[in-house]
Amino acid sequence: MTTDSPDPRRPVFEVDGLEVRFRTGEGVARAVNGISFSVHPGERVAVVGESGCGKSASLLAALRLLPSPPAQVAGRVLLDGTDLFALNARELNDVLGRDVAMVFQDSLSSLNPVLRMGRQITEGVRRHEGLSKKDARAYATELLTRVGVPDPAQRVDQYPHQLSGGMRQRAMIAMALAGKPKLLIADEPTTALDVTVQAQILDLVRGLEDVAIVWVSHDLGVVAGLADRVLVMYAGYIIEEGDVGSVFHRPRHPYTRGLLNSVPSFRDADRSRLAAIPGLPPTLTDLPAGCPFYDRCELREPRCSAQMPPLTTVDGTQRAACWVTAAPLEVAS
Amino acid sequence: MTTAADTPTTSTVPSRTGLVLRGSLAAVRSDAALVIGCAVVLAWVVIALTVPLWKPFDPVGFQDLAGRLAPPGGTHWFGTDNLGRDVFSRVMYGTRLTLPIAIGAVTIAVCWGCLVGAVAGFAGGLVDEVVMRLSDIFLAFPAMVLALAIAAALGPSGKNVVIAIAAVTWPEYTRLMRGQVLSIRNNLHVTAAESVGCSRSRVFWRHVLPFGLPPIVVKATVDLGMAILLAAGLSFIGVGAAPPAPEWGAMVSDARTRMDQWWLGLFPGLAILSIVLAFNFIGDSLRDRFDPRMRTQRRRGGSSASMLRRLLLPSARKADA
Amino acid sequence: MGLLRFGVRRLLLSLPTLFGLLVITFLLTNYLPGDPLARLLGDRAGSNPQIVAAYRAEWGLDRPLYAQFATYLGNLLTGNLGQSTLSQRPVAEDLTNYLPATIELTICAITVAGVLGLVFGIVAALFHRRWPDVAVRGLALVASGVPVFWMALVSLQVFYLGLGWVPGPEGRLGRGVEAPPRVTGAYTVDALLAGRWSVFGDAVYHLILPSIVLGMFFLGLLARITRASMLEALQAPYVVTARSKGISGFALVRVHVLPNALIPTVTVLGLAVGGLLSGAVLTETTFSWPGVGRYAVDAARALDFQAVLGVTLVIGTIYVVTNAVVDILYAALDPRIRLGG
Repeated sequence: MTTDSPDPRRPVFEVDGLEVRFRTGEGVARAVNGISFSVHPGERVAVVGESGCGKSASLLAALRLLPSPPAQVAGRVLLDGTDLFALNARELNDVLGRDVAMVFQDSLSSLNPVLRMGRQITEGVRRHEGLSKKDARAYATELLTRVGVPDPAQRVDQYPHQLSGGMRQRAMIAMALAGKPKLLIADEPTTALDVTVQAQILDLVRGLEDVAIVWVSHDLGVVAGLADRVLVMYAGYIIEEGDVGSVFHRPRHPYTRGLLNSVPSFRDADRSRLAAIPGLPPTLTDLPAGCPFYDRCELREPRCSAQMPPLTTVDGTQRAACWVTAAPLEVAS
Repeated sequence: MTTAADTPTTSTVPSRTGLVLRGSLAAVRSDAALVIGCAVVLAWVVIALTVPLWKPFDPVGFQDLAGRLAPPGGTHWFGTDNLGRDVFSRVMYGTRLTLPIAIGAVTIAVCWGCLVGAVAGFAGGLVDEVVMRLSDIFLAFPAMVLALAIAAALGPSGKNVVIAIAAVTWPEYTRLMRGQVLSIRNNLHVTAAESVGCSRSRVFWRHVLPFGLPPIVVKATVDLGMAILLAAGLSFIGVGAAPPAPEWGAMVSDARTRMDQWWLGLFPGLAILSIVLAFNFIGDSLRDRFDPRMRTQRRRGGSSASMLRRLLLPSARKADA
Repeated sequence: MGLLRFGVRRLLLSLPTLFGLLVITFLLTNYLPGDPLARLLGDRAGSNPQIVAAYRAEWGLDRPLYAQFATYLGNLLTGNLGQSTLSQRPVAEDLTNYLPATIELTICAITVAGVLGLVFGIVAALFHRRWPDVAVRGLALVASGVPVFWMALVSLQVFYLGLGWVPGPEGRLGRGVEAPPRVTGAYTVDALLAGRWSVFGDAVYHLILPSIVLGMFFLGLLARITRASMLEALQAPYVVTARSKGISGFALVRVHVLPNALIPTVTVLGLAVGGLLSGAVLTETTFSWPGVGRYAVDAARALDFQAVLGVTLVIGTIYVVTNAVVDILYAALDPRIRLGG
């Protein structure tokens, strides 16, 4: 469901100033550095960025799924108004799997190899609702039908390794939908699948109703086909956000431009070399005080290395964090 | 594998030996278990080599019947046995019997086992089948039982103990080596070597073997400990070195009938324990070092950090699938 | 593939190994250095031509090799394992007398060490890097390096001579305690079957220390492997998935971690039986336990080759069969193996 104007209803997911650091042998890695965003009911938001930019870390941390001794999490996360960080363990378990659910990338290692599919799909729901075994199995079969798994009655009793990659990913989606969540967080669920299967899964997800989706990806094509809004992350910061159309057609941040440029196209003038952003992302244990993209940026200026630019509105709902292309003329909101 | 000679570009590229040396020094500094293990083994080796020079008493010849079965104290640090011999000297001399047996047996087992395994891996087909069946059969016997049978059949002596232990130990090296050969053969660098015309033996010695060695080295280290246990066990039973040789196992056996004289059995056993543990320490450290996955877990932050790594990096997660 | 088919296939696969076992024992029996007959029969019998001739006939030593082997096999099938020079009884008879004691001891050792090893390993993993973990790892380390015959001795000195908590090395029952009527040969089982509670108690009392000593090695090994596989399972991605569904704590460990973690530990069982049978040889001697281990040791000392080889054959066979059973058990637990993936 696409909306053109900002949704006045209360956001179903609000992240405010989320920070994640973790202790490693080489120092403290600043994986997520104060990001804030909201997701409205029924909205599709994509989070885009390279490996290690903090997209997975931020979402896992938001749901308190990161082990806390090595990870230090700060900030505020509201799910439908409830502060997730203020819940005790039992309350958190009530929320997870019911109001919010996650779909992971590698379905083979994300599923328990010794449990049958039906059991895994309804495990959370059985805990929350107290379904009987028989009802749970029927519900699992119904869910598998809904996500388009052929022969669901047979698949329900099978083990994960007996299903193909595409079927397993559908089953993971079924598992996430079991609790009828308001928010579905998908962490690169189609990255490991081949293109045709990926397209089918995307069709399935596009057809889901009454659920907001946060979709993490590094594949811009997938994002374009699925999302209403997109957040671009780099080195633990959100450096650009806005409607998919605006960001993809009129990218502001040099990194976003670089990303979009690197997507090869038949219409490229020079088809002999692939365009790439030179250099490598900074190491998270050694982030600079200023803009983390400084070393690789064509438009850099001295002031960029001094201070991290804030996210500034550039056009309607589109915001970017860049001193050069999105200079704050007014106080950023 | 490039060496300094092959990279003409920059002179800052360190040579391979330099890297290995520095790596080993760093390893020794950071790994307490490895250090302790090596120290203990080294100590025993030194003892084995030098004890004739500094022995307090002759382990066999010195017999003080008047002072027999004396508890530890005074000049006899470990007490005296039923013939008045000094237990301390006998324990120290025991290394001269045990260490050569263990080293000899493991060396034979490793050489023979690896050779056979490599041949099986390279030749394939019927040769492979025959070799694997043969090693299965040897593995079908519990170690002590087979070693006992062989040693008994051949007659009690140090040499036969070596043969018995080697016979029990070689099959696992065959399997290990064969497995390594089979998996390394398919590596790209081997194909590259073969494609430029390297002879099969050169491919084996210079391209396959160096990569197959780490698990074999680890196992050999641990097996040195196992061999000592086996040798001591065999002499405990009485099919090892003949008395009055100061073999540790035999000394413990003698102590069985004199349980009140606790020092007779305690010290030889502690000697065995110390050296076997030392070999286990070394083997464990080497194994951790050679396992690339474990390497990331060794740094501070430990396994939780690697778990995070696995969660957060899609490439890392894929590797686990 | 189904468990039954897998099981049958696996058992059939052990047949060649068993055959090879027979060949080796045969060769060892008949091709010892020196004069085989003299060694096999012992000095006294070996110098008596009549006995020698009778032996030749019984084992077909005059005939070609394959015929000898055939005779050997034939003899085996009728339960003829030769005559023990030490006991002057057929080896098969001796084994039937002594085997139950070893099996009883081994099963006790596996049970005690198995339960403790699993518990220690699980606890160590759940308390990773805290003191229970360190303690368990230390224990496992020592257990893997301590010579079992020495530990038997020292434990007797401490717990029997020193503390008086357990009986001394007097065998399976105390002096004056009568063995229960033989049904299985295991005194504990037989005593229970006959309702002789005090005999049962005495038998258990005598089993305690030998079982623990014998099982030490297995305990250490099992604790280490359980700990390692628990740690791996605890970090597995499917645990995160389960967490995201709101599963945590005991339910998480019970349903997701343990079943996956315990599968590799089953493979230890096969190794364990081998180690236990090896260790039995050494432990039984120290505790005067009348099992095949002590029998083998006495026979080896007395150069009683028929007996030694008979024991080797029987123990080897037990080991091969046990390994096959363990493989089947492994397949039963891991659907990926059973269903062929």
